[in-house]
Amino acid sequence: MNEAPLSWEEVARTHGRKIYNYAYRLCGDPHDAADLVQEVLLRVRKGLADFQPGSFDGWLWRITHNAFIDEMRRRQRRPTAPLPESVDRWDIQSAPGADEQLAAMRLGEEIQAALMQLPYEFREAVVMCDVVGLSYEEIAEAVAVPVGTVRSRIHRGRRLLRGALSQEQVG
Amino acid sequence: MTHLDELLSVYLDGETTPAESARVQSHLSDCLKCRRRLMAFNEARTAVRSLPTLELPVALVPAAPEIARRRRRATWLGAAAAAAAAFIAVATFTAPTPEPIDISDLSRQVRARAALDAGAGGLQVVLPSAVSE
Repeated sequence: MNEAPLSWEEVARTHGRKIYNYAYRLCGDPHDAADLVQEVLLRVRKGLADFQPGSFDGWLWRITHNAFIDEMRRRQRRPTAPLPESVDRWDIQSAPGADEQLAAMRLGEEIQAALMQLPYEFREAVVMCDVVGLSYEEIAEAVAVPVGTVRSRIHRGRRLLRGALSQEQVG
Repeated sequence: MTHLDELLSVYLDGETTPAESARVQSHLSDCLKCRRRLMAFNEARTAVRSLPTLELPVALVPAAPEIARRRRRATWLGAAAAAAAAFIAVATFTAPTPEPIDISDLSRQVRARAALDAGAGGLQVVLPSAVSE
């Protein structure tokens, strides 16, 4: 999409889910991810009037990236709370097809845990590429780095991820 | 033989230039080590892509325009209906009672007709004693 949408509500409906997934895969917490979506939508609401014709996706993901960076800096200045136990394993074990669900959930948790081991720059590049589905050029625009840097970050991120997943499987 | 590394990951994403793609394909046809490396990168890539897509929490989803329009229209209709009901109620209780009409000065025939129609329209008709008998 290269044209600005009419309203922030439209942005929320068309891009909200992707922003939420990006945030969740970067921080691993649903509440923090929801907070980030709200912050991004607030910035979109303020910034839509000044949007210049160009790549809307590039503009939106630059806002999202900046909001996440700001949030990380803010958190570094205050103590963090422990992650909540978000999944009730008893419910899943008693549900139909429980084994498959549990296996998928464990696999998802392992991948998420492996993602969280990556340095932030690599994790973000991998998530933008493989979760959000942005091209290297769009990632470069959002993060304000050359395409060559994006190539390198995704490659190194995947190499570390492969190592982390192998450790999970062994352990 | 110089092995490929970063280019393999870029190749998986379809982000190589035509010249780079040709180089990768040519190299892979002769190099088992790089084919294994390509598979390893692909496993990591597929793992992240296989993560389930999470739904946006309902509280963060604004109402669709059509729903919002319907809500606004329903609100206006409700307000209009309430206003109309209030107007009718006020008009009913504050409307002046019609004054009685004295028809004693009309001709006999007309007076008889008026006697038959008395009561219609909420009017009170005062009849002379000769007609009412």
